[in-house]
Amino acid sequence: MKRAWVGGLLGAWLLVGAVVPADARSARCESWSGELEGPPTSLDPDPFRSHWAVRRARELAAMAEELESRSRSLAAPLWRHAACLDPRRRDFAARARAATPAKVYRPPVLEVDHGHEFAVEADLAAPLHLKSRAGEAPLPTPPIVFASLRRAEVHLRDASFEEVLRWVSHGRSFLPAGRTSERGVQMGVRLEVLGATASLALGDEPGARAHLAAALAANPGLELDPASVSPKVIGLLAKVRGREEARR
Amino acid sequence: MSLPSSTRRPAHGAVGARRAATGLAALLILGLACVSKPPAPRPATVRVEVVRGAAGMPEIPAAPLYAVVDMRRPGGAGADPDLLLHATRRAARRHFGSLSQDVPVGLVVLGEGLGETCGDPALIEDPPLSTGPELGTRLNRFAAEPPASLAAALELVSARLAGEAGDGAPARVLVFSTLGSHCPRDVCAPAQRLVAQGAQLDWVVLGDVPAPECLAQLRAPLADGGVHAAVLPQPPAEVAFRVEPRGGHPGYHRGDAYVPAALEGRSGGPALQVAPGLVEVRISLETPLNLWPVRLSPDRETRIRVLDFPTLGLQRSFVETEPEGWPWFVPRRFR
Repeated sequence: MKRAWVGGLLGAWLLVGAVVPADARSARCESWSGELEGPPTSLDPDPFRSHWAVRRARELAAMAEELESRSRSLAAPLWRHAACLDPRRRDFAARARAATPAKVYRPPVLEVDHGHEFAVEADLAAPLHLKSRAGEAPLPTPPIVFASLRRAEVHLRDASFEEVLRWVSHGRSFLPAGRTSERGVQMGVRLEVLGATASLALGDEPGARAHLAAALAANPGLELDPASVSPKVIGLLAKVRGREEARR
Repeated sequence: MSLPSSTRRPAHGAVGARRAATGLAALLILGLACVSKPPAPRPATVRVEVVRGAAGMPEIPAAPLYAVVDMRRPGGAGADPDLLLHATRRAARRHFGSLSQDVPVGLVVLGEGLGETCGDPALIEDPPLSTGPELGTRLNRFAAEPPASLAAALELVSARLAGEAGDGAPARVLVFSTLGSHCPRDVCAPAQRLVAQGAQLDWVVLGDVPAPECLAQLRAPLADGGVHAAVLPQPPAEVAFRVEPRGGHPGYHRGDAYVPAALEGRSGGPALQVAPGLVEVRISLETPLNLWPVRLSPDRETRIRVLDFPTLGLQRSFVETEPEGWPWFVPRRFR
């Protein structure tokens, strides 16, 4: 008789061990506000408490599913609690592990000749296709060059000439040497013209000449629009151009 | 010396007669009592408990997205820094382009402008005003923002979330970065704070720099209030129930004095004393629950426990009669 009891208990223990993962059995749930004391799990011997645990876990899982589309951080504690209340549901435990509040994605960067650089893609881990920059092809102009140009223009309108010179110098430093694209060259020339304007306003004619010489080196046929550029700068450009041509 | 027999006999006879009269009187009283007061019925007791689940999720407003775009050229050897910088911008732009117009977006850019390397960034776009597709086209303009630290950017977003009205809208924080070594400030503490605020953190990392290990260890707690308040079970409410006698018990058909009309009680309240026999118990839940037949035994408490999970559309009742309901607690002599 005693042997039958021991055998039965051992069988039940082995059955529970096979069905319920070890980490779930060892995890101790904490009661949330309003829940039954304990709280019970689906393995509770009291059928009422065990049914409550199964239902409560199902209810939490349904709500976690709904929340997860908005925020994994909000869903994660619900998945964990559901897995704790019903340790037989391995899928709840798997969802609890997957719902980490912080995730890191590393999209592979692929250089292709005919890429889809402007493709719209919601998947954060999808590969990025960038145009090939191999060989002597011009490099894309860094956005800081354009942004520096905008800042310099704003400061020139405000007559903050020292700030103009700082942004001109800053933007110029990001132009890729030797492999500047057509657009990059245009931006570099505009930066130099702004630098010359600011230097002249500060009474620094040698500085202005240096800026205009750099602009002519990048674009020898440079013509300035009298509607938007100071006559002094246009006059100085002519002088610099004459000197450069005489030097050649 | 003995008393005369004449004096002893009458005395003896009088005592006997008195005893007989007393006995008769007692029998008479007992008989009268039996006739006028039938044996007291032994009532059964009924107790109802209702355990409820959550009421259901409230409508959640559209989650704002806070994007932190690190537009600093990564330092150090290894992959081409210009390529990584270009890839970072592209990754941000292509994701912004995929966002729906009704997703409000806030933007923090760590640029390459003039300023301190580890300064404080500014929220250059507010969520209600900007949308993803529109920001994607303007992203390059923000490259001249000061080169602030990533940790400070996360702190800025955290402070912004803390200042927002507690409507429970869960925010999403999206970081695009090469994790360059510009400003070695710890990002773990602000990241943990954001997670505790219910935000979801997604990091898009370009290049090979390993992400901080702490990110994988972050655990989101159950927040007080907000959306999480809705996932807690509803407090045990007082639900009305009604016990109605039904046929099957002979006492009801004979019209005995103790046969009651239907009795009403409230769950969680004192036990209701009713006549034993077959009854129907009607519990006034949102979806009424009728239990039939429930057999009530004299001198025993019948406990009806009800699980009510409205979000699952599910009710379940457990009817247990003491002591049969808990055989392992019952001493052998009661079996």
